Amino acid sequence: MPVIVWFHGGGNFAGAGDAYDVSALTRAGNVIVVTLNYRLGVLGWLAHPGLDAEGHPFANYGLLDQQMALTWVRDNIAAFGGNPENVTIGGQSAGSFDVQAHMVSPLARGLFHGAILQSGVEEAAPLADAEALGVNFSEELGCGNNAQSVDCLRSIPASRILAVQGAEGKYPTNDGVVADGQIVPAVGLKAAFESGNFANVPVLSSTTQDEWNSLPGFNSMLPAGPRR
Amino acid sequence: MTRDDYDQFVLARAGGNAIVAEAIRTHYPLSSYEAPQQAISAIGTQGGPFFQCVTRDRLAAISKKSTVYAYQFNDRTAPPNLPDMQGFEPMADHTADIQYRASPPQGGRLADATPTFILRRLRLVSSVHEGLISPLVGEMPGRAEGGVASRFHQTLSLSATEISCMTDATMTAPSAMASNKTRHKSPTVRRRLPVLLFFLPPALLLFTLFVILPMGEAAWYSLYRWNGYGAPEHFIGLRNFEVLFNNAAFSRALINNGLIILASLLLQVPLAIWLATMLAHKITGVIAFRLIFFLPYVLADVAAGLIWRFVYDGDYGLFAAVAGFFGVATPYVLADKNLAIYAVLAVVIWKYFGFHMMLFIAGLQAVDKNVLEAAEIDGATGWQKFRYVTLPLLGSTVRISVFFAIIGSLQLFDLIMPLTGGGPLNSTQTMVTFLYTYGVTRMQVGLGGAVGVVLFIICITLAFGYKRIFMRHD
Repeated sequence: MPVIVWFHGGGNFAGAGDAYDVSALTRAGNVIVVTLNYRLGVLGWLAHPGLDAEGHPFANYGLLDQQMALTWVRDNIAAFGGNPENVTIGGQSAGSFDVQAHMVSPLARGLFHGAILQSGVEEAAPLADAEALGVNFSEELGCGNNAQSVDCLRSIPASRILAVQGAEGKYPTNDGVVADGQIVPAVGLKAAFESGNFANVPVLSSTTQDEWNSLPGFNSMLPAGPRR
Repeated sequence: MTRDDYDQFVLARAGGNAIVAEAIRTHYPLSSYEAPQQAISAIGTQGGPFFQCVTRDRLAAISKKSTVYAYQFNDRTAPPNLPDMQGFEPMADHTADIQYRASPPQGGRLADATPTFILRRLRLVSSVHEGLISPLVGEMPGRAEGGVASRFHQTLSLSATEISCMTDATMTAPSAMASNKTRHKSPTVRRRLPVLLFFLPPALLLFTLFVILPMGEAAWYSLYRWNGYGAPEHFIGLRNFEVLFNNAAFSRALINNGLIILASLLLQVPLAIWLATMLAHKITGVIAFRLIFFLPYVLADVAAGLIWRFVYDGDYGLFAAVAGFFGVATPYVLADKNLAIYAVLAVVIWKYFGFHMMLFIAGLQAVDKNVLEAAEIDGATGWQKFRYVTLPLLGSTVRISVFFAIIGSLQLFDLIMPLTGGGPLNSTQTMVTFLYTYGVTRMQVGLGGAVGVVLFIICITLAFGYKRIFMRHD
């Protein structure tokens, strides 16, 4: 059976794999749908020069989680009756943004064969900007910007990290995805797509007539304040 | 949402720059929308940094290499995803599409709206057909890849309106916005008014003189016993209608009209679709065949009636010659009260199928070949392609064809008069031939008026009912 791996939305900051009732999809079509949770907010998308210096893929931890899920699907979905050669990745909002990141990511090549983009296109944050933000975050936590910063950050309890990352839009920015140069090409998504350096898979894309309406920004943009 | 909200939103989007705000207001004038909230939604959706503009650009880039299918979700009645946001309608918002697909409020809608093109691309076509999703229109040629041409289908709204991508760059460049002012096509009441005032009165006058007044007159006469001489004075209320519905010939006429409608729908339209599917392609001789099949429609109804009267003639006609050739008894079909209506039905189908065939050929030529190609890639058979792709995409043509068939059947007159004159023994009367025979030739203008009223009510009920039920998305 064909397989759909679905990435939830929520700005790569919020949301969960069970946010959508995917059983509706399985009832409607002969398909296996896989949902997952991935790291969100700073825990999923922190860039920092110290992490960069460690020489491993970093910053887009949320994407790495998703790619690990895709690898798992490739290796194991046959046991559930799924066809590992017919895997479609899809996502809505930030999930759609992540799908595009996988399309340009060299680490995800061959892991999927179709892509669904629903209501979400954005540019990845340049690495320098993301790292500068990571340094700010580190300093806000009292870990400064030095050789020990990363060890310091790793020792901080998750609850404190979540408290400091605060409301959406402060840390990280650009809905998480960073043009780190390993997971996502350093040139960014727009340039990667325009240069043709992306997975050649069929794409289904949708937007809605009134995208803007349910964004929190809709209310906050009103000078008179939120309306409820 | 009020006009003030709109103004404040625009100013906020313009970063407080009054010139930019004015450019936005010009591009998204409040008068083009039903409510301020819709205007605000359009500004945020079309011009914002996340959605339609950037999606269009991103898909354009992808389509140079890969096949892209794009649509826009338009169902403003979809379930709201943020029920706690009071004060405005979420409409077809950011998450409405997935919300709609994953958690339909009622059963039945989801099956037609599955977004998994790998599985059910054909179902996407059917939901396009429902009108809840903008059709895939327009295309941007891309590079051929692996034998399959890449395509980019722009969403309807993107191709229909010239959207200015209000990126940060254009937001700070009022001149760029101003240049869009002249290209903005959104009709406004202000622009329409002079056109309405100039063109509407003559049309309205003619319509009143030649349509409304005669109809009113017929209804008025139907209340009188009147032979057409002098003024109608003998008021009899609804007596004409009572006579009409107790008249066996009129009942026969009603049944015949029903038969003609049935024959049109069950034989004529399917025949037309079948021929159209064969003649919609560029094959040798196709033009000649189209012409031959269309020829009966070009012929005047009276001439066609006379020709077929000769064909059916049992003494000197084609039927007589064929029967004589085979040495069998000649059937006098037009003289047989049981056979005559079938002879008429055959002529009706012969006369009008060419018209419907042409409608379907036009409809077939508008079917997006990429969708058929997609179905082919998915392994659809010829019948499956017809049933699940072609036929749903022909939906609006089928509906308009059926509409014409029904209304045409109700109005059938000038083909029948030279063919049978409504006989024998009223067996081929239709409502209009009955009106002519009993209302005009027998000078019973009141009764004729009553037939006219009944015919009008049936036509208007069918027309509005049909349009309301079957053509509401067309």
